[in-house]
Amino acid sequence: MNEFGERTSSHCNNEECKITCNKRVSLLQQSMRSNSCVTKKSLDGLRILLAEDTPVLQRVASIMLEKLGARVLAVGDGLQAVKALNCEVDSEGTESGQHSSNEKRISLAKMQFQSFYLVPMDSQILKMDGYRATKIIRKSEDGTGMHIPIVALTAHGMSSDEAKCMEVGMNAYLTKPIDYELMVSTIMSLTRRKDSMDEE
Amino acid sequence: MDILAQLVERFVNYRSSLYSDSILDDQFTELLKLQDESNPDFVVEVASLFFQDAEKIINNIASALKQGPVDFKQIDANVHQLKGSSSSIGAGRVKNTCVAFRAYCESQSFEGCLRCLQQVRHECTLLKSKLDMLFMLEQQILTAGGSIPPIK
Repeated sequence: MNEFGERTSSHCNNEECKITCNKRVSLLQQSMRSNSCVTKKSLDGLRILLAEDTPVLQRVASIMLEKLGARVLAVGDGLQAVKALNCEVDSEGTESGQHSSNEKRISLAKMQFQSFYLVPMDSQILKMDGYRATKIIRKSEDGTGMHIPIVALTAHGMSSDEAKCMEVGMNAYLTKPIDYELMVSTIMSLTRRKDSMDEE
Repeated sequence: MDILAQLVERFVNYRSSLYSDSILDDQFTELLKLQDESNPDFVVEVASLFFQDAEKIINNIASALKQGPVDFKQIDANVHQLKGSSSSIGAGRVKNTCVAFRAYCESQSFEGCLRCLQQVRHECTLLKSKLDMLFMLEQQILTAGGSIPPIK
């Protein structure tokens, strides 16, 4: 399910369904842009893990988010992002098959996932790209009831990239250079939905 | 016209020329909006980060072009990164050069890549000198007790 309670394309069982789900996300993002209501502290209290390897982009995105009240932890590669969320990886950067007991893993995951509300992630980040990192994060969420919103930051903006983002379980994507208002409205929408799902 | 007014006029004209020459684009304007009392040197800081990053990338590309066989994928990855950071600070001409550069990487044209490397180096140097002048003109206005007029 995505943040709107709708089936995401990662759950789609055919191409037509995937296209429909992806179109729905695109339309939603367009409407979020037109209905933007960004205020000075729109992201107040949100803890955001930013995964971006280019120093300039990391700084610009961090400032954009901090200006709106978010607390940002910036990491420079996908592996650090995965580790920050306490997803278990082996020394080669793949998901480990050696988990601790199920109960301990679930409580550890819950504790760590609750540290961050959202992860904007460069899709082509170093060491472990955003797609692979997202797959590992989603796999680590299995059985925990957790779902951290992940936003792709992509330079390309092609429909195939969009489809790939949704396929691996990302919730939304933004193309670079980042549109400030669209980024904020995307984050607000995703975290609002996450909060209401956490309450259920 | 008093001195402050002259300084402001000079600054506004200079800044306009950077946009009309495509050295800067609208993304630079977005960066300016992020600067405030809590981050008074944000734009200077980001520009500095960009030039440090660009120098490293340009050196990486130069080394890659000296090696045989040339790894065009690696060069493309570097150019991609430079394109991303240049577009994020509004460095219009640097970004456009990177677009052309990527096309030469894709077609694996050594001569094209070499020309683009020289071009991107030139554009970065030009951008740096232009921004240094812009920041200096800004500082002159602030020192004279004035304020920086917003971009219309």
